[in-house]
This record gives sequence, structure tokens and C-alpha cells, in this order.
Amino acid sequence: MVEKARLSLQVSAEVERALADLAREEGTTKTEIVRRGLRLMELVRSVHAEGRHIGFVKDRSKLDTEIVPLW
Amino acid sequence: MPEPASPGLAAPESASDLPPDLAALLAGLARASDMGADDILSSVTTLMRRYRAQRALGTHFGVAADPSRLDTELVQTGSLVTDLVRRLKPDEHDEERGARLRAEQRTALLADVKGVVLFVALLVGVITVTGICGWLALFSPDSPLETQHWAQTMLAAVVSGAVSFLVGRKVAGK
Repeated sequence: MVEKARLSLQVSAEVERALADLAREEGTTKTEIVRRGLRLMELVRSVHAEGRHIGFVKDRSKLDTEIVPLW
Repeated sequence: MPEPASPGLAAPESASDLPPDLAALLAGLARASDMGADDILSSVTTLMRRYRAQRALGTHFGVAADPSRLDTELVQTGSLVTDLVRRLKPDEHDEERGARLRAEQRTALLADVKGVVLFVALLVGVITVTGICGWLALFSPDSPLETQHWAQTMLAAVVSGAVSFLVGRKVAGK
């Protein structure tokens, strides 16, 4: 079984508020918001590293690949 | 009055527990971007806000090789993803606008001509049929009885069709 150690992180009050607001709006925890946000950022960085572009469209047929997050 | 937090860090009550995988991801991003965890989390919340706002507009999220296909692109500023760029169509030059308007006028004129030609052809057809049937039914006693019946039927159909059309237009106009 994987050990579930936890690390404590101190953040600014502004970031704390932003995380709390997002968590409330999404109906989840701040940790989950951090997880989603970091994954999103990683995704964008990896797409850029491949020389492709990532973003939003009204018409989904314009996308080469649509990304549907599982949250 | 609470103690002011040190730059970039909050009071202890703002501390969050982070699972090791996220801490590792955060540390990796911090190394790659040469920024502190707080700045990265600030960017993360901004990114999440913009992502949510876009999705609330009903847009689809995805990847394209050609950036011009994206309505709004996520771009990197330095090492972090923080910005959205909305792509706007370039301003139309006068020549392009004139050419577009001329093309639209031609298309509209062609559609009008088609409509008028069709209407005139139908009108001429109906008048011709009505005239022939009227003449056969009313002014041609020498024509066979069967032909007169056929002509009367056609005439009745045309008249009832015309009445229905006129009544329908009047009702629709109210």
C-alpha cells in the first residue's frame, strides 16, 4: 500500500482565499483545486513543448484533439 | 488585528496540507520556472478561474496544430501558463469590404431574379391553364362533353386554389 504522507505548505492569504473560493464554487477541497490546477498547467506546458497550441473553441470540429477533464 | 504575513507567506492558519504527489509536481514546476510555490499556486488559481470562465461560455477545450483555429488560446508567459489570448479577426480593409459587399449584392440580386422568374413562370402557367380551361368549359360548346367536364374540374381547382391563397394571405397578414 502506498504511504500517504502529507506535506504542509504555507501560502499567502490571497492564494488561500482564491483556493478556498474555487473549492467552494467547485464543491471540492482546496487540495483538489491545487491538483486540478497543477495538472492543467502541466498539460498546457507539455502541449507547448510539442509545438502545438491549446485553448478553447466554440466549434469543436476545429480541434485536433478535444480534452475532457474527468472532474 | 492579525500579524501581517511575511512577504509571500501567510499566517499559519493559511497553511494547506499537500499530498506528496502534488508537492512533487509543485516542486518540479518551481524548479522549472524558478519561482516560489506561492507564485505558482497564484498562477494556478488564475488559470483555473480563466478555465472555468471559458467553460461556462460553453466552449470546448483542446489542442490544435494551427493556432488560428482556436478562438481563445492558453499561452505561456515565461515559464508559467498564465494568459489567455483571444484571437480576433484582422480588420477588414476597404478593398476587401467593397469586394465582399459587391459579392453579397450579386448574390442577393441573383436570388431576387430567380424568385421573380419562378413567380412569372408559375403565373403564366396558371393563367394559360385557366384561359384554356375557361374557354373549353364556357365558350366551346362543340368540344366533347368529357373535355368540358375535365376543363370545368381544372377551372374549379384553379379558382379554389386562388381563393385559398388569397384568404391565406389575408389571414396571415392579420
